Amino acid sequence: MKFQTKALDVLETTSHFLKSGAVESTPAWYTVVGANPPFKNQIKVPTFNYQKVAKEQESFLDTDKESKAKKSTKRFQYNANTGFYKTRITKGNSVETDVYKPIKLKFLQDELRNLFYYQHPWELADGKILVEGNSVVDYEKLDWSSIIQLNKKLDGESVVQRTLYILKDNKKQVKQNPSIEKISLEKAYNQARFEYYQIKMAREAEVQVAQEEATFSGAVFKPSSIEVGFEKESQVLSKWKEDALAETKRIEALRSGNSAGPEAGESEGALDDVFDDIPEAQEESK
Amino acid sequence: MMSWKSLSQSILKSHITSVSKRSCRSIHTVPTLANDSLWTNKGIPQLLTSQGYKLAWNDYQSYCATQLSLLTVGTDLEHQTPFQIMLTTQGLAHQASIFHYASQLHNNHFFFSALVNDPNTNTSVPNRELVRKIESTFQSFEQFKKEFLAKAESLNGNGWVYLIENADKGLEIRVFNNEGSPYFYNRNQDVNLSSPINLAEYEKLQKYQSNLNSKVKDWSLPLLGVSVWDYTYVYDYGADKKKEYLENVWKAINWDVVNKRVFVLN
Amino acid sequence: MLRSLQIGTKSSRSVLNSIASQRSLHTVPKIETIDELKDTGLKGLYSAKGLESAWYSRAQSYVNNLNKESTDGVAGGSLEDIISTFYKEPIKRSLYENASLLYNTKFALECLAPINTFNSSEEVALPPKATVKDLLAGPVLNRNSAISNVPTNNNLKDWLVDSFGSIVEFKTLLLNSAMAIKGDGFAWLVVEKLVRRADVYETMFVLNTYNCGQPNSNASKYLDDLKLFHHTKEQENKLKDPEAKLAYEEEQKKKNKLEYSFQNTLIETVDEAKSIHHATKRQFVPILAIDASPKAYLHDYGVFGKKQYLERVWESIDWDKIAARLPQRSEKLQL
Repeated sequence: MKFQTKALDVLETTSHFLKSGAVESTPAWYTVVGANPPFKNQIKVPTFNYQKVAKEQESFLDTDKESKAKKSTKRFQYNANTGFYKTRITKGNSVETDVYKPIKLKFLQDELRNLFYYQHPWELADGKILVEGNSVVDYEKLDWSSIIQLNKKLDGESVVQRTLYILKDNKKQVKQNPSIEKISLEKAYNQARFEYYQIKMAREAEVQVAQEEATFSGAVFKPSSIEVGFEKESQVLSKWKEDALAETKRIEALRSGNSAGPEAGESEGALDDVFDDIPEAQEESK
Repeated sequence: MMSWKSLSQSILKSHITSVSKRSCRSIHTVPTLANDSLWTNKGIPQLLTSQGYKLAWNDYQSYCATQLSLLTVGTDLEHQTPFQIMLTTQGLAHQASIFHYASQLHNNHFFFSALVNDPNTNTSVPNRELVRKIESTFQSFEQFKKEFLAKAESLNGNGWVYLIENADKGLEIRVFNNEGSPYFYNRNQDVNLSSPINLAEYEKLQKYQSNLNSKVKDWSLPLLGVSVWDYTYVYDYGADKKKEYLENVWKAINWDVVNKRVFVLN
Repeated sequence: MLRSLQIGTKSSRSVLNSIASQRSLHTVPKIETIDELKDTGLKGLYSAKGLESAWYSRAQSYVNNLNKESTDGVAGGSLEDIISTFYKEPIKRSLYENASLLYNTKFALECLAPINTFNSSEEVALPPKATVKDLLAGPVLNRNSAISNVPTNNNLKDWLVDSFGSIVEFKTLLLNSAMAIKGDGFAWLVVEKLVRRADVYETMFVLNTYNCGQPNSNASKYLDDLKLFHHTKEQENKLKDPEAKLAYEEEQKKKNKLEYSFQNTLIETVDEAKSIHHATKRQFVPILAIDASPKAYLHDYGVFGKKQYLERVWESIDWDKIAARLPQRSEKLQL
């Protein structure tokens, strides 16, 4: 299918209609769209990945032959014997393969976040508000010298930001005083994680104790979701029990009807009684 | 809930702990009382020292406000005022601690906003309508005072004493444990299960539960609330001088504020 | 059960009479280790004034109330006697409440000793008063190696580790539990006592009591009795109406028919489940108590200082005294 561009011409079409009188009043969006017209060029222009190439070219600067050879890539192959670089395009070394691919964005935050939620999958069940207010809190700009924030709910993101803060802070301290031990990423993450656990434990205790304390002082609550679930479950179980008993009775009655020859007529009547008692069983058997 | 809200609109307006908006999220802060600067410097004469006032109002209120902000940030409660949070969380057991802070913010503000700036020059008196109601319920005003203070003194532990106007516009003195609230019968918290309760109290709890299950509403509204929390009096008076404190509170009540809360048929 | 409730009342009345014959007025109980520090305060935990506020003035108010109640001579005897007699006497409620509070507060204070980690001649200053900013401060990580004042008694230590995993886990649970109490209350370390052929002491628990509550389970049994009493009364009232009686009997018949061929394994409501849990014969023996009421810390630590206070309480716990309270630990049944 051809790329559809008609919708992009909405401004021109409307202007035309207005001029000809087909549309009488200017629509509300008219001036706004006029000020910010839709982008019409849909063709993506590939960008050359300078970063990648520049990184590969770093090997040119090395004076050591061995490390030069080590850093050889498909594009820039260093021959230690001859001391020459091979830069000519040959098969399997085409320039287009990767230098025009978009740069892959890599952030430490993402990795930490993924790790945290991989280790604590149930933290994802903690509700999160997706609707943004009229301004957004930039987590990076908050002061993460403490994991507790007045502007930010305590969740996995707090652990990520706190880890970064610990690393950054440690770097600063080491710069001032080199005798201070350097903190590894793992250690920083663990520290943030354990701080998180501490607060979660305290809050969990608070939830339980507050409920208990309020109950002891005479508060009455609506049934919790667990209680509602329990109630529903026991309703189903009781009904099942009743039905099962009725069904058993019916089967027993049928069996005795089959085996007892002379009293067959009598037991048939009894069977009808049973059926009268259990409308549902009757329906099902039909 | 809507009709309930409209009824209590006046209370909503006058007694919400103020909310400042920063970065679109609600951070609860301590509202400024009319006499705040006076009381901060001198304390409430004959009631609290300036240090005692700081503990009972500034510190305790900001303690509750901060805890409430921390517990509600990033949840569906973050845009609500403490009063609305009370409404939302009153029946939910797992949000009991959020309710605690919201209710305490409201109760404490309700209490402090009905005190005169200087009890020595307290000229406010209950108006005719209120006196008539009090006398028809408690025989005399003296009797009412006696009963109110006696009930406050007999409270075991922390809590609040309230004069409330019930659905029939009759008056009642009620004692609430801990964060008990006058607005919801299920959170009145007027039965102390830690001490031996009698059958009547047990049946009251049962009734609260069955009322709650059948969604019976509570129409009572508070007229006067007095704090019997440790934060209010223990620093200045010591735990054994509750009676003196209560007597002093009585002298400091601003009846002009209470008068305005009484229901009048236009 | 209705009968047993009445019998309970009768028997407590006889105890009541025997107590009455003793006729002694209450005074603020003496705690040797604390009384000698009355003028200096409990080093590292309370100033002299803080101690006055946390114990002496409080105890005085409880004692005054007790004496007010005992004008008719009923409330002599030890605190334990009063508590065990009046836990089911709503009429004498104030007596139970004040005795219980006095007992709990005393118990909590008896667990403490001046902080001894530093040179004993050196003053351990109280921490600076916390402010609202301290609520936003991150937690200090508890590491096993980092916590001080851990129990030295091996029996106690092993028992704690077996019940809670480790000392640091126990500390976290105990202090979090105390921290979460908002009004008056105590956080306790208790040993569960199971009444079997012989008393069995196997597991330790952390539990909270609020206001004048007691850590043993008598009160919850009293509540169960009350519930049953209420239920029976309601049934009786219902059966006064002949039509309702017929319907009730019909229902019972149907129920019995159902139960006939099936063992009743269904627990119908959460209430039922709770009462089954309560019905097991168990008691809790208190070993350690932490006073979490604002009265205990307001003077020296301020509104925001509960956390600091609890940390200092941990530092002040006299573990030798706690260990001395332990009952003989039962051998764990090998299955």
